[in-house]
Amino acid sequence: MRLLRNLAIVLSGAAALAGLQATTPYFDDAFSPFVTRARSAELAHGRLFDARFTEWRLAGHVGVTINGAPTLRGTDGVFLIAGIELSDVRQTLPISAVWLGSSGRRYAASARFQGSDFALETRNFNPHVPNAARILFELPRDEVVGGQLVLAVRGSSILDSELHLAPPPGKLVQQAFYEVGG
Amino acid sequence: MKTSGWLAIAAALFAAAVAYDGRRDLLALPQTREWSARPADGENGTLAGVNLRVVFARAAPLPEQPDSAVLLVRLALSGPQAARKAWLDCSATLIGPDGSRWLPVTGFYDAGARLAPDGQSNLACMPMPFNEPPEGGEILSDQAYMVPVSLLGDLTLRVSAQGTRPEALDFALAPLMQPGF
Repeated sequence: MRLLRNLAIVLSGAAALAGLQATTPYFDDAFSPFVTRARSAELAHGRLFDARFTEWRLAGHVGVTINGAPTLRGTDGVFLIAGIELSDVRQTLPISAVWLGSSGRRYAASARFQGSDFALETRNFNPHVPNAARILFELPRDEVVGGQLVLAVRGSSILDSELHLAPPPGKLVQQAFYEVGG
Repeated sequence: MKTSGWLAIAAALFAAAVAYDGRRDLLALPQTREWSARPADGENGTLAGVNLRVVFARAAPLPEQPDSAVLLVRLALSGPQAARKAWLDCSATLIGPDGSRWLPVTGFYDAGARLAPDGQSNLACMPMPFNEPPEGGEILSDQAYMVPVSLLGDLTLRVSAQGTRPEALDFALAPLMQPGF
């Protein structure tokens, strides 16, 4: 009887350890960012900045000035132009933007517009100055509706804020050609 | 021993394990924080054996955003090379009255040409540049910031480096306003 009791204790301990091992979170899960979700037109509050998703539209072609040269870009998918407005920026920040598609896939902002107003890589957001920006994504058409805009401080977002913004209200404007500033 | 005694020992051992495991991060923490900032003597200050001088602070509003301005701050750094080695990772941050922080931005490449009295541009703050002047000479650096015009008179420049932190020097700025950028 005593042997059986000791065996049960050892087995239950082994089972508990196996359970712990099987459910150990990966590094990315354990140190994932703190997600703040904002509904349509709502202001999302982050640790170092607040943000609002102000407008969105689709275009098949985008006309943009890149390094001083007028340039036309086309796509087999669709260009999503997302307007954002940052407020209560607490320190000079670079921002990264991701489109979280309806399938759950994450799309980085397009790198085909470096050298233009769209390029977030060279943009900094500063306290107490106007901080509106437009971000351009190149997406499969079926990833647009049902998706969300994700903003975070560029670089490591370990244990930092990540803002998930639902698209603004109103009809999604679709146009064949969109010109920056137009 | 009572249960509370064992719990206390376990808590102490846990704290000791955390401290031992994180000792490198804990020791490195003061090198990333400016906990002990003190005001400079006007435009001049000395920190960790290196002399600092604010040569000028000049600002100009942006044509497309008249409420925002580009602020160019030129710093002069001098001192023996052995002391300047501690000035790696030199940081020059503007602090607002509400604690907001402005870091130098890289977009205004021609800020020196437009705002500096000599029309020259210098690199950002670094203690040992490749074109180092002779011993005793001043190393000039330029920092450009994008700030609101309304706060131009209320900004403090906080300067520190890896070897000085958590100590830092605060300079009260009185930027000279230029007509336009």
